[in-house]
Amino acid sequence: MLNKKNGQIAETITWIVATVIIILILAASLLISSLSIGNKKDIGFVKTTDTLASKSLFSYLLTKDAEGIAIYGQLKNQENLNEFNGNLGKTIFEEFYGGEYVNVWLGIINTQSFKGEKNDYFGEKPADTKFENTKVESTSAKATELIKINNDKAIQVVLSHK
Amino acid sequence: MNKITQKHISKNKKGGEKILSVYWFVILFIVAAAIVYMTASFYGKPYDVRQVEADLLTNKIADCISEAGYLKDEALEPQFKDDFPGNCGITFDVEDSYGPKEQEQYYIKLTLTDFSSKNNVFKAKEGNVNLVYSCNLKGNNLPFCLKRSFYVIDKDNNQYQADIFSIVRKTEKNVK
Repeated sequence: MLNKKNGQIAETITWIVATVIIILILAASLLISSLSIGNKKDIGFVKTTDTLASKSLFSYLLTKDAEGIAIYGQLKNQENLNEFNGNLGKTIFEEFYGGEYVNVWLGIINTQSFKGEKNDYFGEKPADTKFENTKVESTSAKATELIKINNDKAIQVVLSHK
Repeated sequence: MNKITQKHISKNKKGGEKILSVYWFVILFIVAAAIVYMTASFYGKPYDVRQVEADLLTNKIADCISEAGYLKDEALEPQFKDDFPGNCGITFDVEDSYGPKEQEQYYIKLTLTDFSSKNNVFKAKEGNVNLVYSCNLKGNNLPFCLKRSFYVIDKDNNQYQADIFSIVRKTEKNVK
């Protein structure tokens, strides 16, 4: 009988201790929950295409010079940007998107190798190290728009994210 | 020999009980982790999607006034300005689960200027103008403001700069 009573007391003490531990663990879990929740959740919104920059590029290519030749036609017949389309491109893309993006580049690229031609207005095309390694254009680091001029070349605007 | 065996059996029994209590504590921690996850997901702060919303609003306005690189003819007509959001298919109706209908949650402004001279050609605005004043303030529960521009020409090769200013309030839903 006595032995049985001792057993009951031991079990009760075990459960009292266990209850305290359970309450402590639950309290800790609620504390961790409240600390892990920040002020707001960020959805990590990264643009891979920029609608307004694309619209600017379309309009830019349709813009005619004093002789009535559209920039698209000029680029078709010339190797690289000239004074008219280079300066206009710089005014549009640097002014409108320079503050929003860390780097803005506009120029002619080879459609086979994706290599950009250096020009006097935007310089070298920003290096894409991921592309160098994988030969697949990385899209998360930048917003781009590309318009084919002929089978070998295209005009591309590259807006690199901050 | 028999005594040793009995002792061993007794020890093994205690070991079994210990393993069982460790198992129970593992279960307890799993339950606790589940509670953390459930609490975080249920009572957690909401996702702030106002940047996406403002961006979509801006794109919608841009699509409304330009098509295939050219400024739409109707964009310069006076009727367009009269019901600028309606003509662009934009409504400012919001769900009222957080009571945001007490005040308008959006503000949009479209300005069209001559690209070279920067002279104002067209201006249209709609929505809660009071939201504009909070754009320069710093703090948590403030509306999201987005100012973007693009280049557009008309069929006569006139060059324009279109500035779109979008503000989304909806702080109750997106920022607690």
